[in-house]
Amino acid sequence: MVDSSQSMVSPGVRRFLVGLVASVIVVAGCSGSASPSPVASAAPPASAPASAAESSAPSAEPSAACVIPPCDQPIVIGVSQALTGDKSDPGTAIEHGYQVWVKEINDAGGLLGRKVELKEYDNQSLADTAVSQIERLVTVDKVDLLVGPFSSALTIPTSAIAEKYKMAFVEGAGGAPGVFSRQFHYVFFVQPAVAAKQADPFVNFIVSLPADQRPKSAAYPQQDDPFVSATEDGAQATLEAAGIKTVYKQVYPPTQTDFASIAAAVKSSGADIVLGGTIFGDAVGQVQAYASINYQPKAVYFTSGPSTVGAFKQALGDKVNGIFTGDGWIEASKATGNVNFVAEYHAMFPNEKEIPGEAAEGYSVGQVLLAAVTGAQSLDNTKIADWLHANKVDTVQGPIGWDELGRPNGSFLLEQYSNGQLNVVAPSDDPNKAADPAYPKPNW
Amino acid sequence: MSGELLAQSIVLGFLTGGVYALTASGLTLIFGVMRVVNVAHAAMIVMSAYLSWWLYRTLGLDPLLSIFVVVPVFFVLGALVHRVILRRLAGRDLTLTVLVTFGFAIILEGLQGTLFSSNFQAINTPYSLNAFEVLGIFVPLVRLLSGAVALVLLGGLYLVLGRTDLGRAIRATTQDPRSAALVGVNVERVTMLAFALGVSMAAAGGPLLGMLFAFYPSTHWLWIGKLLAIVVLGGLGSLRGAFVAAVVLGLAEQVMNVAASPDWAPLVFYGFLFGVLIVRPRGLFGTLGRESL
Repeated sequence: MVDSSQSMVSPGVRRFLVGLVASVIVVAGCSGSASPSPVASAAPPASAPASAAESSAPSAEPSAACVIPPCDQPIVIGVSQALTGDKSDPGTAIEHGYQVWVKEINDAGGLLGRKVELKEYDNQSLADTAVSQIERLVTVDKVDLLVGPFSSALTIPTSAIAEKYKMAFVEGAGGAPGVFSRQFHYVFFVQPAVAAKQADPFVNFIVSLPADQRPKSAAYPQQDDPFVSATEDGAQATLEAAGIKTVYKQVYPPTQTDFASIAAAVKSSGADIVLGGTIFGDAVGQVQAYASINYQPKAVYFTSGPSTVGAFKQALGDKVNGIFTGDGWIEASKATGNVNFVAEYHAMFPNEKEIPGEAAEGYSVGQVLLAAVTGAQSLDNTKIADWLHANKVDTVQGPIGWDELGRPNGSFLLEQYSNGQLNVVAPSDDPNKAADPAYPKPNW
Repeated sequence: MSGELLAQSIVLGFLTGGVYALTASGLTLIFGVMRVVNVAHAAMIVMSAYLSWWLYRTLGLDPLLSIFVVVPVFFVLGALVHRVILRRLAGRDLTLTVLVTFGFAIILEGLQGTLFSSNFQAINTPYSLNAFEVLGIFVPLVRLLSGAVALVLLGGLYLVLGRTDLGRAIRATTQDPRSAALVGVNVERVTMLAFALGVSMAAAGGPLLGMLFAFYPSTHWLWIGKLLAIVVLGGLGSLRGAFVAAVVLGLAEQVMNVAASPDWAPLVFYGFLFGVLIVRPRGLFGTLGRESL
């Protein structure tokens, strides 16, 4: 064989290799790549300067003549986004939402009469990279406004930088308690409610089932992530109070790709329903693993993943049917401005048949910025933050207002796949409700 | 934890370990012959997974059959990489080859992102989620097929190395390139073939990993850590060692997932690795360097 008693590996070589292995393990443990951050600018090059005369052209948006100089310079919005790495699917989706908004607002004459430009870096889904990029956006690039990354894990550290520089941090995907527990003034979460309430409509539905249909036990396989644990802990507490026993709860690292034995353990626990604390790839992995060992729970809820509709369906095909998730938006939503957003999105990204929910979150962030900057008539971030604390904004996710910590005060929708379509199934008084919840779910 | 669940995780551990062994075999072969640590090894595996995914999506070629396509393709690519780049560096400085293959890994990652986007991908065939039950234990079909294919390929590699002239030449070069040259082995050609063979073993693992796990361009950083750990635990250059270490890693992962928590799997494996290295610095099946005898 290759090894033999004569094989020579000198001690020096061996020491070097052991050191190398150790350092690779450290790099791999940080769940990402060690390559330098590529810099990308999503915005087209600054087009012709928007003069006061141009910007008063007729438009659908409340743009105005330029009031804040320098009028020939674009308003630059800084973003550090997860465009590669384990959060790249939803991160890219939010990015597309930002881009649709930027195009729309520029077509309509700009923000306060000035063109808008995104200054964007790829943080590779790594928190420390995101932090240094936000620091750079504020201090070196001197951007006018900031918007947030996907997801809570990256929003928690980056929002602290924004707070330090008193920059309003409007973000569409960071709703974990850790975002708000530091009592920041400048962070604003643009979803109907905080993460801890995301599973409420699902939990309410389960608890409302007649006693003879109600599940007896639940499993909580979940990723080690602040948003996920907030949602899962909230749901678990309510379900346990309603007498639904916790028979499996396990936290796995974000780098987990193999769910075979986790699925075997969930099946072995005999759980009637599964509340998967997922981001995206792990939701896909869980479904595949459950299906392959023929584990048929009565209901499956995932915190995140199913709302990235196109990619989720591409990965799972008809296995998506029956899966629940909580979200603030669906493509068919009747919320103000949604028709425009949907049309514009499909025009810009014709290859994507379905719009991921995260794109709507990104677009909503733009709507909120537009309202706040217009309302405050200023790029002074303190004035913008003050305005947001005092007002509600109509978004494609419905009207959203914030408390003193930047927490939204609405509630989520319960959504479920049927016939490959993600529909709103609760609450029953929601104008977007298209079907009743299917329970128990069809077999995989 | 029930006995059934433990048995289930042990079966999964063996099957997963087989695939790990296949992917690590090329790495240990390349090291044995060239003393080159191919940091791009996992990036090549992921590249092969993408190629297989693409063949399945565009031509409908079954991922298991695509092994017959990716292996020759990567064999040629491996030979080219060796001829154009590594040949000039081999024998000069180990750190230089590490840097070059590291750079190569980053280039491959960028290429994958450009060609296939950074989204999660998985190779889903109609039989991807099939499984059968034996004595209450579910055996996922794809995992069984992957384990079996890995064993067949590893057996083939074992026979090539043990029974053929090329294998004898590779082993001679592993032991001492200068003596091998003295007895008539064309060391440069043998080294190139060994590198190409190592790369094609990586390529053979690509479709299997692609069917088992979701992948995206930067997944190779997760894999290279595992693969290097397997190779070091097994003993650098030892195929047998890599096989045993791979099965240990597969078992540690699957059993810890159900017995404790997924967070414990790497801890147990790397704890074992460090323990072995303290007691036996050359790894499980590695041999002492001649210089230290």
